Amino acid sequence: MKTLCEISITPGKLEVNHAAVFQSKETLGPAFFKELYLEMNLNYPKFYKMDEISKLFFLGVEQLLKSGKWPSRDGNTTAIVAGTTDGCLESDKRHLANITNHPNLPASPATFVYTLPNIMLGEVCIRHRITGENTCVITQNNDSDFINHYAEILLTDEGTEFCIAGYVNYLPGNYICLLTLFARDLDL
Amino acid sequence: MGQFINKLKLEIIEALNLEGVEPDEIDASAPLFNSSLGLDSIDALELIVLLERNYGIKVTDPDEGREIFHSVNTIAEFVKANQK
Amino acid sequence: MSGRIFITGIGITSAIGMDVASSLDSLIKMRHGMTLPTFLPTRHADFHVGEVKASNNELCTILEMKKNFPVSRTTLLGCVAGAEAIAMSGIKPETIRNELHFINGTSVSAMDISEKAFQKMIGGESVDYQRWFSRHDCGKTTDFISEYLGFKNLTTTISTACSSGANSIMQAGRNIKHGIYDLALAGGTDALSLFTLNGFNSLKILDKDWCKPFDIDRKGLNLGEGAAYLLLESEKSILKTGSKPLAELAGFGNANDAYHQTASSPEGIGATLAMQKAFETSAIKPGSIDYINAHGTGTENNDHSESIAIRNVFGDKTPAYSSTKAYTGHTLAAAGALEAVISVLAIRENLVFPNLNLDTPIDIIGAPVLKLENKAVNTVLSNSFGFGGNCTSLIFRTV
Repeated sequence: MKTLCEISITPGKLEVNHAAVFQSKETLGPAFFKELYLEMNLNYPKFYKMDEISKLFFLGVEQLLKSGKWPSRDGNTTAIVAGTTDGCLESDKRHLANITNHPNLPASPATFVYTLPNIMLGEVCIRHRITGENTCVITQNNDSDFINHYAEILLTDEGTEFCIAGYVNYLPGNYICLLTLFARDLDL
Repeated sequence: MGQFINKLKLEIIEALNLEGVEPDEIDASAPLFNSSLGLDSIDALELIVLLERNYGIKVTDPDEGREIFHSVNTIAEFVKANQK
Repeated sequence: MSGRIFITGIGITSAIGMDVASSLDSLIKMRHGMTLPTFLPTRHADFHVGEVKASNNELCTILEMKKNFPVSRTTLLGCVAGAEAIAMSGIKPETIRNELHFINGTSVSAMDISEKAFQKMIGGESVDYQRWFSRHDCGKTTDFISEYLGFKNLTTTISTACSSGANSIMQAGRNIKHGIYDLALAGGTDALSLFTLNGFNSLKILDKDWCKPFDIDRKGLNLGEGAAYLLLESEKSILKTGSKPLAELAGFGNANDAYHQTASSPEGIGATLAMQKAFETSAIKPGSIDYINAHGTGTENNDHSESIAIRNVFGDKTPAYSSTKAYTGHTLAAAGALEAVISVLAIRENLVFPNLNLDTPIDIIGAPVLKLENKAVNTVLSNSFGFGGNCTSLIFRTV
């Protein structure tokens, strides 16, 4: 398989192929993500409804597909394989606080929607009309061997042309999004 | 009523995470859904929560919600008629 | 070697039985497990749910586990079902300790414990983090079950909502097919929790009464809990272990619906693609399917969308189909695994299990099977569709 592009988002910094393309003094997640969203000129209001990890993954994929020159017509042959450690923990905490602190009020559906780690993949699929295989695994750390191997199987044996693969994690004060855009090796 | 409409708009903007939308930009008589605000079914459910949380009004049937949430004006009328 | 994927053990625990034998008995006798909550301490006590009919203490007794520390019900259910699958294969765990890969799907994990601890904290009690929260995350549930079953930690945890269990089976099957490894225990587990009951209620997709999958008057789903696993082996492994195949995992497919986080597209795009991919990977044609175990949750949205997708794939030749969620409830991450076991039982017993609680069918693909049917069942298609648009289809075949 071929590597078309790599991106990373870490507190206050966006890198493409290991070169910084955007930096900010703002490192707090929600504020930095908003800055990055505006910098990227995305015009996608649904972004503001997403939880922290979904915003992070969304922005990472947005940059990855742009820099990797992903052909947008190929959504049905594009797969996503993502690993995460803490997943949607922030949304989980919010929902749990809602239902515990206010037992006589209904829970917020907009919060509950995000209490699954694979929703961030769903958001990206909706945005880019990606209908290929999606998987989300929980790993103790960034297990790039596992993720990349999974991507390789999809690309060599199962008719997938492109694969977004990587690791994303969000905790307040510490977040990371490391993504690679792989493509099928046409020489095979 | 004008002040209440403005308050309601602010509550809606906050509840639905309509970042960057100002109250002036929402036409109180225009349809909320199928508009440039891009609201979906989850937003409709969130408005049900807003009514209960802020005004103590329970809407149990999501279909009833379709009429109530037609516009900011219809929501305001409903609240005024049903507020506890 | 052929790349074939054999199923040599199955384990299941749910509202309709603690094990395979009692579950099969319930399926045959059309005895569902839906009741008002008994074990779940919820104020939504008027919502029908599918509870496993055992308290946590009773589960600990079955598993010979100490009762004095808070182990998640999700974990306990997983241990029960996992142990059954291994025992059924006849393989001694110590002989496969270093070879067996455990692929587990879960969405709730130890949230049932965390929410209890959180309530204590809100109430002013001090809560020991290590005791109450250290096993919260999905990976810890997998590790605990794996350790309990006696396996070295070759584990994977998949969390893709209601398709997690099916995706775990697909992942294990794919790796065996491609010769990455030869032996895997795959499936899923989820317990009921206040977190999910309150959350699903906020989406207004629950039916307080017993759910009615594929009925024109259906009002929503009932939540359930359970765990199920398949022991999967390559041909090479079977030659070594001597275990007897029960059925074969013939094909699998996963696709994203790319429409909405919690609703399926009206055209059933993701479901259609997943089923088509399963046919492609299996080299089986739609005409060969004897029975579809549908996702069939009982929501207005899913049952409509899935019916359209089935019509897209099968045209006017829909095979016998049913949803078994009126038996068990929707067991979230475990659903695809529970229904994989039910699919294997359909093949083993030559039975098509009925779609309970249906009065008037939706008029898209004809009515599902309403009574237990005795017929040759050689090939079964099983669907599981999760939030986030994650759609998976598995095809099982007789051996």
